Amino acid sequence: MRRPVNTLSPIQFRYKIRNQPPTKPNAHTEYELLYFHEVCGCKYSIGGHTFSPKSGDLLIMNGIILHRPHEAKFTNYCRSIIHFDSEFINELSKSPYNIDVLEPFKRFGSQVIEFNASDRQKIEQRLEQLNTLHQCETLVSKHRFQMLFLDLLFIIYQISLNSSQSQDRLINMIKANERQTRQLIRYLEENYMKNIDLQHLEEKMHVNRYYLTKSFKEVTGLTIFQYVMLKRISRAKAKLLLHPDKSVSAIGSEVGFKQPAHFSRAFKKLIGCTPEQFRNYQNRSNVQ
Amino acid sequence: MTLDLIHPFPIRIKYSEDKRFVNGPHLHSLYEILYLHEGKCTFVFGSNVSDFQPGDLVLLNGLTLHNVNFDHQFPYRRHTLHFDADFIKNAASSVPFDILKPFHAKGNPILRLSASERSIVEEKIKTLEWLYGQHHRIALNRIYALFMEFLMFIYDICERRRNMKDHFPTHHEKITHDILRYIDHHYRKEIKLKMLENEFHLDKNHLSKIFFETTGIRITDYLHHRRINQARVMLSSKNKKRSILSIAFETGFKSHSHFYRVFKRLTGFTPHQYRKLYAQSNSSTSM
Repeated sequence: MRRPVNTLSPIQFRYKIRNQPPTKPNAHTEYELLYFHEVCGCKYSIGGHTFSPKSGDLLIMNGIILHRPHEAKFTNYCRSIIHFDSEFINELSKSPYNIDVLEPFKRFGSQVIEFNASDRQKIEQRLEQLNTLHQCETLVSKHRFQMLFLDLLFIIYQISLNSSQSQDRLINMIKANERQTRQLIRYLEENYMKNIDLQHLEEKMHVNRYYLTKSFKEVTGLTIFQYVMLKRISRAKAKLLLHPDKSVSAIGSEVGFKQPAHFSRAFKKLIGCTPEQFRNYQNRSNVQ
Repeated sequence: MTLDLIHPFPIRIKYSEDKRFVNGPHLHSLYEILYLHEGKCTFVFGSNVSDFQPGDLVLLNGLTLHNVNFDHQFPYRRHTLHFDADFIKNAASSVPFDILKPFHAKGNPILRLSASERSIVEEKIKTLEWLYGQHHRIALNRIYALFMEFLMFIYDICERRRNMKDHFPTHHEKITHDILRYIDHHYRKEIKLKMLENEFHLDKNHLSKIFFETTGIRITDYLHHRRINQARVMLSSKNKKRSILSIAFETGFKSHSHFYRVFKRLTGFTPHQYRKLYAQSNSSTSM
């Protein structure tokens, strides 16, 4: 498979980067937060939708939809990018939290949020705090970083509730086949741990299976089953990290694998090591 | 103070300048963080007495009886944060270090902050307090995340200075300390001032005076608080359901009615009510 699941930390943070962005379309299973500190005259495409970001805009998206910046003089292009494993956040935001903090990312797959001046200041201050903690690299700062990041997601959740009108405009601008694919992604995000076959999807989405698979591949660059596999392995990774007491085979069956052997094989193929090795490696780096 | 016990929200923040309600040592079923903005105080906990300054953070696990004795001529402004330790343990189950460790450390619970730490702590408390006043679901979730981060921040500070400087007590503080320790060891039996006189070779009036000056309460009052404290622990124990009478005897009271009277005066409830309320508040927070 072309895009292996990352073995890196579940939240990847890059603060105020200014280099030339790659203009090839890009897709990944992580969710993405892209904050434009400074931008002038560039365009950004997500799936079939193109917009011109302004300084202070925040783009949130499910990274699985192909996205790229283009048509640009990238002289003043400064942005912060956070890629995060949605399954890790899912596990992290379980009880006592009672909000589905990923809802804004899932709702339609992407959303541009414009801030007023005071919210903008708050977001930038938070990004700066996150950056300070990110550079510390101690065990405690790593967990403080996770908590502050979770709080940032709550803030975004609240703001995106208030700006759902621009969302409606976006939905109308997108072509029918992409709209269906985005709906399918949303469905898969919530049901990938179940047994999924094309016939079932066909009935669910009321669309012919050949059409379904073709437009999925166009929008994401992946087949439906590659995507389901990536989601399952991401979830397994998050569970291995956050539930050190759970057995590997229990985790395998929770994320949708019927046989432990199948789980280990798929995990090894995508991550490069077995689930046990992955867990041991992470535990060691916690102790240090 | 008493109704606090049955408050359903697991994290609470309170700002206060009031001097009326703080008299007498107290304890909570909840853990406590106290931050002093302004005031001139001494802090009494268990069998220790310590100087309490603006910018100090006090970390208490709720089972240590504590009392702030402050100078009435000065303002007394502080923030108090209470939280349910079980709730936090549960929420932090995937965190690989014990974020409540600073609350279980033996010895001085006072954490003296540097200027930069103070401004961070004040900023964090301000945000939490603002969210606490919002009363909606998202704010509640933000409080959970930010409070956990706050605890981790405190953990970080404590770990960095495990070798805190020792505090040298004055002569009076030392005697008070000894009296407190004596009471802690003997409160289950009968204690009379005469016995303290023999123990410390000091006149009983003199002893009472020293104790009152350093702690702000009388020896007998402290003894009652210590006994009721223990009774509260025993009443709220889930495993052993003991009769009220046996608890009264075990905590040093000689009669049923005396126990009832003192318990009611200090907690506002009878022992029976207390046991019931505690069971109720536990079953509602565990949801």
